[in-house]
Amino acid sequence: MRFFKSTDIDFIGNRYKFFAISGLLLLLTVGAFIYRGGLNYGIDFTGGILMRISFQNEVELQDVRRAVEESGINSFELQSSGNLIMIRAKKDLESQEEFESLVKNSMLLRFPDNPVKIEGIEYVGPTVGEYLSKQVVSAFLFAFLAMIIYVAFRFKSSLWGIVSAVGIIHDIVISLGFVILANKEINITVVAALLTVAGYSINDTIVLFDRIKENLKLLVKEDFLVVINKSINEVLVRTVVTSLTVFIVACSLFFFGGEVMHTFAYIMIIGTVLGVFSTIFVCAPLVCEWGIRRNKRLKAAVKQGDVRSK
Amino acid sequence: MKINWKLLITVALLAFSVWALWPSLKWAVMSDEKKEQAEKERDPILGRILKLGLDLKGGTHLLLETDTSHLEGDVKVKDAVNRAIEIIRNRIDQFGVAEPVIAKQGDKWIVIQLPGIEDPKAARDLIGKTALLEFRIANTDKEARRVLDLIYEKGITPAQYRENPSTYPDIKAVMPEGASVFESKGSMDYYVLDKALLTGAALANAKVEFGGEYGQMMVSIEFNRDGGKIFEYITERNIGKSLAIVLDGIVQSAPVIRTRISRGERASIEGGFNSEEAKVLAAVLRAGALPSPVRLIEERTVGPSLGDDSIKKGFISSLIGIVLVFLFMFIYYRSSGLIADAALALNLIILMAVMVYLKFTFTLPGVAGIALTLAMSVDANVLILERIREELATGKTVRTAVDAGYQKVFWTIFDANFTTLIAAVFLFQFGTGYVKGFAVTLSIGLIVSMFTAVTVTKLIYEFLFKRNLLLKIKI
Repeated sequence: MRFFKSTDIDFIGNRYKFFAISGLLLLLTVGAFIYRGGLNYGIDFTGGILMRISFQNEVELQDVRRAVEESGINSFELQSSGNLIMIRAKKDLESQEEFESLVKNSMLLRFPDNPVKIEGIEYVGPTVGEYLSKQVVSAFLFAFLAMIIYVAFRFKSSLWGIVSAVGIIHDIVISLGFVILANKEINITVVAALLTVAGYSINDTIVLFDRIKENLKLLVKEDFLVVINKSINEVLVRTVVTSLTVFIVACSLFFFGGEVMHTFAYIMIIGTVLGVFSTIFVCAPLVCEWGIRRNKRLKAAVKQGDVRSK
Repeated sequence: MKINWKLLITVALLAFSVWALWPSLKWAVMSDEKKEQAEKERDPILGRILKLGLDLKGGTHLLLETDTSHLEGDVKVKDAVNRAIEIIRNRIDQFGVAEPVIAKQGDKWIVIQLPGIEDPKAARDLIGKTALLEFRIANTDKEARRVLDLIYEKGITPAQYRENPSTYPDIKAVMPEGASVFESKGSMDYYVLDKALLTGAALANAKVEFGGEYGQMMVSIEFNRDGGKIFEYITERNIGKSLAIVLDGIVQSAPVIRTRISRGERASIEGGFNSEEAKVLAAVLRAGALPSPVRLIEERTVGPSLGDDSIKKGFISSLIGIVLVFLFMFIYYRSSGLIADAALALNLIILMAVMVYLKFTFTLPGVAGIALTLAMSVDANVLILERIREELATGKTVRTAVDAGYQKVFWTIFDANFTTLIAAVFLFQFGTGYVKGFAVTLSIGLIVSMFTAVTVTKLIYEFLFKRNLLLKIKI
């Protein structure tokens, strides 16, 4: 079976259209960021108490909110996901027991026929939150650096390394945009998912770069643009097939995985699509642009419209 | 005869995997009663089965920070933390928790995981007994007496003052430097004590003894070499003063130092103990005395139902994902897809075996990691198969097309996996428990997949070629 026979699509010729799509997605991210008023950090980073409760029968989140308010807890946040309700508050350890019993009693009072169950309690101290934030930042920084260096080393040019890092950042930022849009809190799981997206995104980019490198040696007579476009078309099937398999698993986790998997799978689904997008429509065209800028003859030719990528 | 190394390594790995996974399989089909019995008898099989994380089993996760500000100069932070870990382990063992995890994290954090303990309060109580032992000289200067007067006047307890000295500026103003105020056990006597000169870190041993003029219960303590030296120095310099023995902020006794107590001699704590109290105190001091106080900075509890539910959903969704990928490969690539599927299955088996062998814990993100890793490791197979298709399209024979396909994509596979591995390693570096589980499965999976996708599938092709079973290729 085959999805499509060898393709001959003009990706590079239409690169500005795709840059526009990227720009739009990035704008959407910024918009979501402003609309939601910044990132919604979970207790992993801010510290505090998170209580998960569930009810035998379904309840309205509104009613739960009212019940918690009436119990005298004044600053808290509610979030529901499936049949789980999460109550988050910035409290210290000493008040945890009090918080727990306040919540429990208020729920018993408001929903007398609908028994509440405490599914779990998490407390994270402020020092831990601080530590984790620092760790996350350094993990991303060093991971990027290591990837750039490795790619630059393998392709003997720092350009390729930097371009692949741009691709990753593109994917992570837009994935984050979708996280903000869905009003999900930023916790360790989200960060792990984003790093996985990064790893996946670069995997895809490398395969294309490898092919471009190979073709640059084989097709010396062809123009840079043509080589890149041809390479994209050659690896297209592979890219689609591989992404599809990851996509299938991510979807399966998303739809059947329950609460714990939900956010992770959500980000992976978006990241899989973005990974393909950034490889074909961001990284390859960027390498191409760089090539044009460096080569005077090519630059002049492109200006005059003499060069076709197909 | 030429040795087929690829075949040899593959067979060896497979044998290793079966060996590593066998106890887990045996465990999985065991009845509940037998499992209970095995747990009771501490059957060695327990050490060889697949370990489930707290999110799958239910339990409590605690993170403690050791407060090292009280340590005397020559006690290293590292030693203090390691000793604290030992002590906490002893206490938890006495409590009878099955397979607890107690480990150092970073410089002075201790992570504790207690499977099956779903009441965090019980866990906290167990570990919270700090048993911080200090030796302090009682201060009887004018300022100290003034401090005591003020405390009595205000009607506050010494603990209230210690908790928040800045709310009582007048007391703070007259408090001698480094000193603080303490209450004594079972009486209203308050003491102003200078800074701690020795702590439990300097203890070598503690035991219950009868002694004194009236043959009362006391706990005699023995210092280590450095501790003995310091003790000798203290007693020499402070003859006539009271030496308070403070346990967890409460003065147990404050005998007057009559003579220098030389090194090697024992000191004793007389606190009007009954025999039970003396025993507990000696045990806590022995097993016991935390060299520095610990503070709880993170606590996560997973209820068993959430655990059960997540296990079911996590496994089912991962299974559905994996089955779909297998099916897809077969439908899309036909017989070659089946060969790739065989490699995937082997990848899964080896990955699980390595996880069990290295005693990594399976967490839910880990399970998701396995599913995602398999999906990603399909990539290597897809790369090879697509390349073979391309080579076939140029008119090559099956044999040469297969060879060329493998040869040309090897470095692509290597580069792609290696860069993803970089991300996984950093994920592991910073990760807390759950993220680590994911990073571990991802890393091992990537490494294993390079082997199975490249070596094992090639082996199958070679076998088929040899038997002339594969003259025409269907991909």
